[in-house]
Amino acid sequence: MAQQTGAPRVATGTAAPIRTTKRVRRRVRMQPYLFLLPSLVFLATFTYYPILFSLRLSLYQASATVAHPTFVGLRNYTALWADPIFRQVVANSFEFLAGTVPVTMALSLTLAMLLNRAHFLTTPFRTAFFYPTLLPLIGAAAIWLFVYTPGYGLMDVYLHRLVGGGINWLGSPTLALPVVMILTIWKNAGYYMLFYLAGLQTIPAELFEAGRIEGASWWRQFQAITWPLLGPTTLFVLVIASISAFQSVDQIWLMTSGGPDNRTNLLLFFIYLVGFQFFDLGKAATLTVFLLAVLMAIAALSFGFLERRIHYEV
Amino acid sequence: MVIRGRLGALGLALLVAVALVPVRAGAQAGVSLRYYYPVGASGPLNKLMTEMVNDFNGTHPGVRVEPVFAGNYVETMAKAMTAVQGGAPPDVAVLDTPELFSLLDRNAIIPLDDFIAQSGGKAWLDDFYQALLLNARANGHVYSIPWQRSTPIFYYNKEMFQKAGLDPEHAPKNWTELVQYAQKLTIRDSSGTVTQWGVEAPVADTSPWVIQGFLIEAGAKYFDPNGKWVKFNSPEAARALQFILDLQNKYKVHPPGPTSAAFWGQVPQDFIQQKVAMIYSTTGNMTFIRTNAKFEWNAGFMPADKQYGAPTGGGSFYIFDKIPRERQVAAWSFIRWMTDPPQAARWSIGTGYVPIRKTELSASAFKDYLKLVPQALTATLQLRVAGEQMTIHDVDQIGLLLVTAIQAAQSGRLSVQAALDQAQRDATQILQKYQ
Repeated sequence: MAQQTGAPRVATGTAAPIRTTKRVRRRVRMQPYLFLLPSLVFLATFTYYPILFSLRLSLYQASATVAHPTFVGLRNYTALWADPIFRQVVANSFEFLAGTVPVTMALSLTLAMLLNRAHFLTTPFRTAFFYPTLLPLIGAAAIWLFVYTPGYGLMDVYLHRLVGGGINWLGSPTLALPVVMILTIWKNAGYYMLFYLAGLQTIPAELFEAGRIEGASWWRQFQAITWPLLGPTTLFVLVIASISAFQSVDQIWLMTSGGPDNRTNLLLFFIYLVGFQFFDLGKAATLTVFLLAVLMAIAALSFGFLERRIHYEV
Repeated sequence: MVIRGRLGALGLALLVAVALVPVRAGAQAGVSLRYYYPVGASGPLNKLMTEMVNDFNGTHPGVRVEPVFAGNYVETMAKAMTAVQGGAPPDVAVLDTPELFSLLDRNAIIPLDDFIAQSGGKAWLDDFYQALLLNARANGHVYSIPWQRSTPIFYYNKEMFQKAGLDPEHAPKNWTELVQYAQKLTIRDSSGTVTQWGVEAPVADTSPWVIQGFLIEAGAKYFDPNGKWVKFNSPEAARALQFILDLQNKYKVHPPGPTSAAFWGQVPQDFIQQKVAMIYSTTGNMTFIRTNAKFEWNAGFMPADKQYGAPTGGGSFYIFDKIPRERQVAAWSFIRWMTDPPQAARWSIGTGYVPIRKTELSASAFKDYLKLVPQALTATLQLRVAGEQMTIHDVDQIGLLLVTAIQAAQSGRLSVQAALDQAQRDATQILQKYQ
């Protein structure tokens, strides 16, 4: 908790000497705000203003049919709930979250633990696992589009003998979403591995040494030392991964366009469809507010609830 | 110090202000046009468009067209709509032709009847293929001039036809023949896995395009020419969709399951990889197939049911409302020049889009092109039997309902009739506001 109480003290500026003129004191008090100003300008322009604008627009009917937006109160919100595609999109998005986040985190933690030791192969392996992060998602999706091509894509060529060929990976309503999840996990695992590697480096070696002397098994060491001390990292990765799951759009746009039969239509892609293809800006704003509420709920849940159970000090 | 600082700031501000003044103010006093255009596949098409615009600017001293490459059709439409809403519309644009009612609902475009009358009237307009003008018209006015137009056609592998004992010079004429051909052309290995499919039709990927050919062939009247209603659940429409499902599940000559977004790009790939004998694909892929196929191939009409039929597709020229009259006039001179037979032929040859005018065929460059690619004539001939592509209010939204219905039937989630009934219900609800 030390870091947290430490930060505000600097910002309030109470450390200034008592015998100073008003002017100097004021300048001291203004200084932190001046430092914050550039970020504030950017946040206000690109985050806060659009949020307020979306909130306001979500109360209006603003689509291709109406010349001027008309105020309709909460009707956009009630209409959203009655929209079966919206309900399917929400279900898809939570399925995507549940299918990608835990697996990605488990995989990146495992990779990090395997690659934490010094070995002559460590660096090549770290590079290999990290490299998908360096690819733009849209490029990675284009590669995987080929991997999943029925008949002569990599997947079919190698799985041919096991499960029979000609599987329509991206066209099957049952397989399409899992298949997009696999690409997403592959893309993100290396990135979160970096956080876990950094987390592992901060755990003092003496702890493991002491554990070994006491005769603790590998699993016992993981339970008692590694996992608790990686708590802050896990929390951070959980939040980032969950938010990124809800913001997935590139791979959907390129690989499935939300199909087949809306099975891969995720929230952000749906917003794009409604806003920029159907030009129903009121509904798109309503969806945006919903997405925002979900993201804020994830952040609130993680930092408010989980944080209390996490050790920050070693 | 203070003064110098302020002067410095003033100087900097002036410098920035000068830099921001549009360069075009320094050019001649002529009319300057902002022209938005989409390119489905970037690269050579983009280069050709820039060349043609430069040629226009070089021969028309009073007008300067500034081409703005705006992405694919969806992106270009989004950009144009945003500009319209912001009160700064482009002057002229190539947009997806079925967006007509979306543009009218926003009061974004002007009718072109007066300009057409000045340019030779009916005689001038009649030189365009009438199928391409079907969805340029609404409420008795013409709103767009055809430009980069395409249509789905039927490609087949002649060598596979020969091996199967079929006549390699002729495509199947109707649905019954299609089934017979496809059954002969589907090859399975000893384990029952298909190594060569008979036919592939991307009937509904992200938009319901190729399916509209089947709907027209079955005789379905599935939308209102004035854009206010659709009829997706007629017996004819159900027959068309059932035929697709039969190809997949009953005759097993077409890969099973929903025709996904990825399938659209996969179909021409499968064709050149010789994984399939016959495909439905856009004329826009003819150049791709010609350069990559290592076998003899041919093109035919989409096989008929009650009649032949294929939807048209692609983009047309629109002129925008709420811009000065002189710019609208200049925009028309640009459209007229671009669609003149020599220019139109240059674009068709360079891109593979279908000819838009009958006189284009007699251009010598086009005759040479036909010697090289005789199959291009099939696409042109099919235009005579082509129908109108669904052009209605909220066309993207309702199109997605039809895509969903088709994919739901293909995946087996809904029966053909239930899927089409649901699309009909949802579409009727959306279109209610236009009644």
